[in-house]
Amino acid sequence: MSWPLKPMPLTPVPGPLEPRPWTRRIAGMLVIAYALISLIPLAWIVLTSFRTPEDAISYPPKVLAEPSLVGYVNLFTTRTRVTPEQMAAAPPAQSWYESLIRDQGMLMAGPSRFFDRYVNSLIVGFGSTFLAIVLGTMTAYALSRFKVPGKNDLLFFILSTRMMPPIAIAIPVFLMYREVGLNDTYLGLTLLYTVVNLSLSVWLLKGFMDEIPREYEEAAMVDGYSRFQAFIKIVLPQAATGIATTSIFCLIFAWNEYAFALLLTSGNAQTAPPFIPTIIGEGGLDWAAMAAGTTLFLLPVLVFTVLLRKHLLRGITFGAIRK
Amino acid sequence: MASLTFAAVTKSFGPVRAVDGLDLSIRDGEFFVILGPSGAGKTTSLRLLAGLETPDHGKIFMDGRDVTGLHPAARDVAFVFQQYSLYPHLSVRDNIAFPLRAPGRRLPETEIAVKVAEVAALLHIESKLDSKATTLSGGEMQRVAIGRALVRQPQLFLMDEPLSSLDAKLREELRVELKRLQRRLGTTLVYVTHDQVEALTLADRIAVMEAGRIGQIGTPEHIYDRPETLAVARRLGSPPMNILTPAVLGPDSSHVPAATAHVAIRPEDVRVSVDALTPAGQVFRAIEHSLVTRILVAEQGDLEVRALVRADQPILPGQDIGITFPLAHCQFFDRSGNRISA
Ligand SMILES: Nc1ncnc2c1ncn2[C@@H]1O[C@H](COP(=O)(O)OP(=O)(O)OP(=O)(O)O)[C@@H](O)[C@H]1O
Ligand SMILES: [Mg+2]
Repeated sequence: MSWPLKPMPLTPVPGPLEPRPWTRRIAGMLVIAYALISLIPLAWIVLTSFRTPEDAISYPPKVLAEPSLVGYVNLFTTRTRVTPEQMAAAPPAQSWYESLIRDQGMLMAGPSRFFDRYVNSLIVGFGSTFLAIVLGTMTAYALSRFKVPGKNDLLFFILSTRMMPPIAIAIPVFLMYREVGLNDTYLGLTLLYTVVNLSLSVWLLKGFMDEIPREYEEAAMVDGYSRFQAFIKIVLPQAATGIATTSIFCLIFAWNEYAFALLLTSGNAQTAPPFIPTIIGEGGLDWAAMAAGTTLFLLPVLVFTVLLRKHLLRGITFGAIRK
Repeated sequence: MASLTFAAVTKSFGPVRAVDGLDLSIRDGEFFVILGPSGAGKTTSLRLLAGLETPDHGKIFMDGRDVTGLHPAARDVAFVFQQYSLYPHLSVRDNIAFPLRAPGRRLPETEIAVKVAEVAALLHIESKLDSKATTLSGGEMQRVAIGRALVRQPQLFLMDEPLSSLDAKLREELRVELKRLQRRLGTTLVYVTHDQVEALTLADRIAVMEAGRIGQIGTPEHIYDRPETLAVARRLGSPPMNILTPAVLGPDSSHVPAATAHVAIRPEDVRVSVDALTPAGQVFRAIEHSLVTRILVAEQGDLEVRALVRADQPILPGQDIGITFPLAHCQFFDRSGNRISA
């Protein structure tokens, strides 16, 4: 018996194209280090949101402090400071958050406007993302597949709307919106974000559409589908990666936008970004409440991205698909 | 079932005339093969039939009805594309069922399941029905693409080199199966290939296409035996026809028609005698001889001849042999490559 001729190596030998183990290890360490450094400010915000207002501004800063929900309670309520006699006269606290407020020597006056602002942000952010994606997908498809007169000029024009910082047109937009009654409306802000995002979405999606072979739709049309049905059944699923990627970019912009929101909205349609810095406590800014607002503000984009993760990962290997 | 007519159809892409004044009639129920080299305009012709391209000039008729501007979905044709165009996000099963779920057709799901199973059995892809289309091998993808066409009963089948990426055994098997199926259904089938063996075995009629034009149309026998041009002569036959000068005929050269510039003869018609001293023969020097293919290649100056030789002993390279070209089997072409009818 001459078997086995050679002992099998216990550790798998990397193929010629695979990176060596030590390269992998160094790359991994670099990525982790970079991730940690990037996460420090984020971690600080989240930690701060769970501190009392006093701990939040203590010097030297406390890394570990008694966790507290005061920041969140203050974020969602308005309060009035009362004298100890008034406090004693007040009926007993109805709930845990009322007790937290009373511990600060205050009585709850009512809910704050944060919740409304947050809902406004959701409406405007997701609304404009949806519009930018729907319009962008159809425009990109048309520009990718049809003979459009002056196509290249058109594409350049669409891109050129992005060359100027949007805020440069703030005053004209403000005046125009005041004239047509779009100031401080959902529609106004949604339209504005849609338009700003549209150039990005058309360009990104056109790239993805160009990658999808025409044969797919042609086969579908020969099989008895109209072009629009082929678009829905064949092109859209194939463009899922592009649509996911683009919608995250669009959402991030619309969600974070501060300057126009500050300028164009006030009482009714104001979004969260201009609202959060205005959270004022007694004798200065309430950093714990602001950190709580910021933490909650970070969540939707995070959740949205995690939900679309599957498509994004496919996006990275997009070029590897056999055609 | 449909008859087809191209009437002076031209289609250009920029400076390239992919299809150049095509006149062609295909009969109802015919197995029609378009044979031609790469870039001849075969795919473009099929796409014109399917409605995926619109002609620059000319008209296309199906059953006498002008369909030149008709949307592909309204033509009721099934197309097997040259690049297998399976939908990557669907399973094999859903790929095959896709045409049956089209809005105008929409069969009940139970009926669809039966049809898909039938087609899958025919093409030996039952075990792959639940795989994602992207996980298949090239040959499997092509079979699914064929399946997607066969699952319907269209007016017209269009197939663009459907067997090209299959291995020899499967290609043979499917070729026979396709022919049988087409016989049974009686549906007109236009089949594009650059493989002459496929063309000769499958076709009721062949159109030989070159640079956007038709060189010759006819039954396989007709095209094989009486090529109208040198280009067609070169295209059919394996090994290809010998194209020689009248001088090789020796004393017989006085009998060739006037204006003959080229003499063509099939390798199987060339007579070879190993004894180089045969008086009538021309002396050639052997280059190679295979006992498997029985093909002998021999040269005289820069003239090269292929002959089918049934010798038991290999003819050795460098050996001198005598070759005769029986006049009865020779075909004559003028300087521009057109047949001189004898
Ligand atoms: N969409 C197109 N744009 C530009 N040129 C094209 C297009 N389609 C075809 N052509 C050109 O038209 C000519 C004929 O192409 P076609 O695809 O019909 O050839 P074919 O006979 O199918 O060749 P093959 O055997 O390689 O598939 C080629 O020169 C090709 O480059
Ligand atoms: Mg082709």
